[in-house]
Amino acid sequence: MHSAPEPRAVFVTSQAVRLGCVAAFGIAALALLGWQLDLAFLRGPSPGAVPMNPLTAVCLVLLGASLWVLRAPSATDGRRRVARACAMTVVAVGGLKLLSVMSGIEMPLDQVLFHGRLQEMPVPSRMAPNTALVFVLLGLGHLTLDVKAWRGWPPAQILQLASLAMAVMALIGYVYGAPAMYGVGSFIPMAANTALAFSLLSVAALFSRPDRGLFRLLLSDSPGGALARRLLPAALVIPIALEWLQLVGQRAGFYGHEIGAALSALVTIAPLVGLIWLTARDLDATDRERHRAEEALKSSLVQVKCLVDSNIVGVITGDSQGWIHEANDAYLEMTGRTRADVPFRWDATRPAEQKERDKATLSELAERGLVRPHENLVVRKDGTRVPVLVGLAALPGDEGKFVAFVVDLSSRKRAEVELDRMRAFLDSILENLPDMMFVKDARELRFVRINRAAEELLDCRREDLLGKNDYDLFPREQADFFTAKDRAVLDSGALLDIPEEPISTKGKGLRLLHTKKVPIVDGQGEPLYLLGISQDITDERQAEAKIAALHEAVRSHADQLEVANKELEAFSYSVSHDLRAPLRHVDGFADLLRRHAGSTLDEKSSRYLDLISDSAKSMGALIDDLLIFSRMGRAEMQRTTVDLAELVAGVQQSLAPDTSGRAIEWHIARLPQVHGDPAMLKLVLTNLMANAIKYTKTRPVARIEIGADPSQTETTVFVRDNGVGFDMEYSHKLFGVFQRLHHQDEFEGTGIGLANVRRIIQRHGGRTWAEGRLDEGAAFYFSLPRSGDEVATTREAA
Amino acid sequence: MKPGLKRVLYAEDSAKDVELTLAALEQHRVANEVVVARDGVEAWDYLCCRGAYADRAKGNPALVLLDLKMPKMDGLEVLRRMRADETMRSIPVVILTSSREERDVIESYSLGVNAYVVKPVQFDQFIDAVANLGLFWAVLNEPPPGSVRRAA
Repeated sequence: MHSAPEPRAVFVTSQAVRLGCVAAFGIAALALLGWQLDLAFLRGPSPGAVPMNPLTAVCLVLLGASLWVLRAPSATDGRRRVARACAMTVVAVGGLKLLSVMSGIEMPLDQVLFHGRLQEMPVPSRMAPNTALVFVLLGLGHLTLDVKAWRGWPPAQILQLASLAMAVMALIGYVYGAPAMYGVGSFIPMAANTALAFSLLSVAALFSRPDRGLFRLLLSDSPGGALARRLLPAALVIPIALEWLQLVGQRAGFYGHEIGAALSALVTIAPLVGLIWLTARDLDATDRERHRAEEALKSSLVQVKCLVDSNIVGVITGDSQGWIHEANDAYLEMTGRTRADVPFRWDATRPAEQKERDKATLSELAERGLVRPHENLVVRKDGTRVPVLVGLAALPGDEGKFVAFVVDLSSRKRAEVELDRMRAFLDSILENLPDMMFVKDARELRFVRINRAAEELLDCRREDLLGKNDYDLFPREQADFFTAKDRAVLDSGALLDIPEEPISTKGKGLRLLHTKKVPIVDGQGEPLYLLGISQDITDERQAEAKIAALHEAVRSHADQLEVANKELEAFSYSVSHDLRAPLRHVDGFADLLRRHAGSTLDEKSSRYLDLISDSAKSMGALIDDLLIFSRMGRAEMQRTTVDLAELVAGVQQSLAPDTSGRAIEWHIARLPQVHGDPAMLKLVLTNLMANAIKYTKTRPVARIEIGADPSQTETTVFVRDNGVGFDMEYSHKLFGVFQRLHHQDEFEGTGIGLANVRRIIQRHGGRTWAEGRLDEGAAFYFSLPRSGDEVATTREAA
Repeated sequence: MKPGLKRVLYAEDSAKDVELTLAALEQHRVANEVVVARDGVEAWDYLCCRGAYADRAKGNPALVLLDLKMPKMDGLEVLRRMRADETMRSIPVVILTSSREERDVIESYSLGVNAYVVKPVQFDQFIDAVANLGLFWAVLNEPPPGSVRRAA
């Protein structure tokens, strides 16, 4: 099982390495200084003891410096080469020394330095054989620091452990006073400070690669690591220290050998038992903690399994070699496969053109340990493609294995397509609306959407408008107005209709808008947006103003007309009333005169009186006809269905007094019904028929013909006679007021009758005309427009 | 002369018309039973026995002839007042006028006139019309109670 290095231990070891290097280096340097200055206490622990040989000191300096360089992974290659060269030199020195010892051939390398001083000494200082061996071991250890482990044992650590064992053995020998442990046979022994330097350097060398071999456990944060860290120093230090104390006490004679041994055992047992008990208690606590963590892990594994089995997302495990080892039902369904297909190659589910992308994905996975969810495609067994969202995570500990989570996006994609279609649909509606449309966000009232009509009206592109508010676009006063309305809509939540609001535009000046504003709310009724639709009613308003002006003009004309009519009425009223009175008086008093002086009047006077009366009467007739004529123009029309035949018969009867004693042939055709004012039409017929009677009085037999000719659109009625006729040259004068073609003494008349006919027929929407030849009779026509009812009736009759 | 009670009240501003009308009425000898008012106000004073007629004998005329167009107060106004007055409501009123205007005719009848006579221009016709009027209203017609009766 993997365990991370314990951080505190790592710190301690790195400091220990530095300290070891510096201490070994320092001890050796001091020894050399001692040789140089001839200070014995620097060369060895005591003046009588064996001193450190100068060559040994040099080798130690080299090894210390070498380890200082090699311990740091950041050292440059050049320095490493130098450091290795130093280590190799030391190995060579040690090897030569050993060779010399074993072969018996004298090689006085250790006598080269400080040769004079060495010669002065009672016992010549040499390099001890065990020292030489430790140099070989340590040197080789330096050289093999980064060589890989063999069966879990890095060679460097084996070498360093061996050197440590020899150095510690020598140290213990010095402490206990047992020369056999620091000397070999009759050879000179290892110096005590050499042994100490060796011990420190060996430990430093061991600790320089704490992530390897034995030290991995020692430094790990696992319970084993903790146990090793706590018990190992105790196991090393306690026996040595207690044995030494016991030996010291025994030598001093405090107690005998037996008592000493017993004491030693007792004192050794107590701290060890305490230490073991404390450690066991800690281990127990750690184990419980671990157990709890395992339970938690197990439960979260169950949760993960639930997630996988729930099939909400597709889950697979696979490897970078292209295999899918496990897949849940969701994934199998997504890719159209079954459990029987597992395991299968995942690249079979990948589109061919995505190979490069897959490579990139795998390298990202290897590099970062995970691949963020991204959209992709999977190919089903039948070849169809499914859009998916994929996220990958590397499985820790298993090289190249990963777990992938796959979500089927096809329904979402379909929804997106539908959404796009809908959006395009709405866009095309909004963009083609002739009215300005805009949407503002509810919070800051900034434009988030406008349509083309808005761009045109405001004369600016939407890029320049979106994100802005009314204050960026309009004069302050208008912006205040718009904003107040917007807020009112958002607060009330109801549609607001603003029949007319002015707006300043860049290109078109001041425009008038009819605006409707309505809030767009979310599910809770909170307003999200404000939608506005504005219709440009400027032209409409201008047109309305024009129409109003026209109406005003028409009304004023009508008023003037009304005034004129009133005046005319007053005039004719006055004519009717006041003009007739004098005539009546003229005629009345003439008559009274005749009655009064009847017998005394001569013939001439009597005739004058008659002429006075006639003149008064004819003027009265003129006035009456004129009044009728004017009344015809003003009187209300009573439109109804009129039976022409009945009307003609009635007129015939009323004219009977004028026809007595005359020979008249009446030819009256079958006459239709017409639409019009009966009284007025009677006046028309009376006029025409009276004329016909009047102008045929010179004929022995008068012939008067009345007929009608109904066409699609109008009914034409004529009255024809065989009377004196008229010259067509003057026909345009026939229907004028006071226009006469005959002299008063030939045919009496006021000259108003036909004018009246024309006025009445015109008021009916018809026409009048006449045909005639002098002395060959005349025909007078009038037409009346037909209403739809009459047309239908005529068709049925036909 | 103290204005006495006459059977016919004739309101007419034109002196010539008065003379012609009286000449016509003379034929039936009712002329001396006619009192002439020269305008509407005078006619109304007579009817109400006030002003110049404050001292006249009490009683309503049997017939009132009214010209339409008169100074101060026109004939229609006199007619309107008469028809609004309890005691004069039932007096027969004949409009005697030159106007053939339809609106005059309609308004007169709507105010409750008993007859509307247009004065003809021809004198003989005028005489006939006035004479017939006098004959009918002043002689043949039984006036409402309180009116002046023809002297036996």
